[in-house]
Amino acid sequence: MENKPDNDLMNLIAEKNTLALKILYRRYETQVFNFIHKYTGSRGIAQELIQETFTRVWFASNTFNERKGSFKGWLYTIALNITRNEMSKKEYTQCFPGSHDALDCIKDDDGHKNENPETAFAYSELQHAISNALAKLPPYLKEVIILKNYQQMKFKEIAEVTHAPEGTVKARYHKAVELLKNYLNPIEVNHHV
Amino acid sequence: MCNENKNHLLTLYFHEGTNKEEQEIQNHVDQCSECLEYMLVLEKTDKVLLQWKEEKPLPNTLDLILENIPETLPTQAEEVPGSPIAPLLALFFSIIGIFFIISLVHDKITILPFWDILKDIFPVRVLGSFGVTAILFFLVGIFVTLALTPVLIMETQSKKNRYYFG
Repeated sequence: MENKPDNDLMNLIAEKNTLALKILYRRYETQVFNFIHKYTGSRGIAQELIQETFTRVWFASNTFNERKGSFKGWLYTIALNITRNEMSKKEYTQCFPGSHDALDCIKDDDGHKNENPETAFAYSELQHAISNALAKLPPYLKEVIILKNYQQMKFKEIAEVTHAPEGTVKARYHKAVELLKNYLNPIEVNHHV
Repeated sequence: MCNENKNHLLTLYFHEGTNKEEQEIQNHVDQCSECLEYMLVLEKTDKVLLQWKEEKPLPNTLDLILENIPETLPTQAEEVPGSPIAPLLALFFSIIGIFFIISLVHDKITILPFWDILKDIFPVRVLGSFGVTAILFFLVGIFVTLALTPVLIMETQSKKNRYYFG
């Protein structure tokens, strides 16, 4: 069953086969987790939302239609909607009124606590700086950057996930790059990290 | 900046075109300093962003997901046949309230000047002052709902947009 394509696994999930869900989870856990993590800037929230995403995959499996698009696109649409909804909640908007600097409130990353303290500190600073830069972008720009640069999706796929025309997605990408150019300016490319 | 070429630069940088297309764009970039500069911006942005490496979720995440699945099904099943008494009571008292208000005001409608004209019309004669008042209530209700609907829709949409577009 490990080698079955996504669509076949989704058919099995629709028949309430938990093994199929486990396989799909293993296939996409890192990608979806990192997408949410980079969107929210918080491992804790990403941890919660990845659970919600795959739980929804289970319960909404009947609504998946392979003729309407790929499973990957459908999965990311679910993850994106859940993340957008979560981040638009009052507690986060109160944390960063007028800006999108979620990190000031919800920064809780501890993914590198087992590394050498100096390396971990340097990485943590770097990650914080990138995360802060992303957090300054409005959500509609941030999601395009994350889907393109971290998830390596094609613009056509991003258009499918965000329900925006491909030209609009590209225009958003240009705008995000223009903004990030300034926000990321102090960060140097470091090949040793 | 060659604005017309900006999207082509994305095609070239992310290798989303055919070999021929990419070669044509590359030929342009080789001759255009502005496009070359933008390509370098794309490259630097990409490299800086990629320094934030991938991480994995906690190892027990799948177990937590699987735990949620059986728990949620019976909870949902139990909630469906839940008692509808509260909304029914609310509906009952609302109807009583409306009838009470109509019974208070339906006499007043007969002293309005247009009543003398209306009272001889067949439907008005059948419905009487009570029926006409009830219909007026109904029409006012529809009017208020229709008038407020666009405002409510726009407010909901603008809340979403405030978050999404910043």
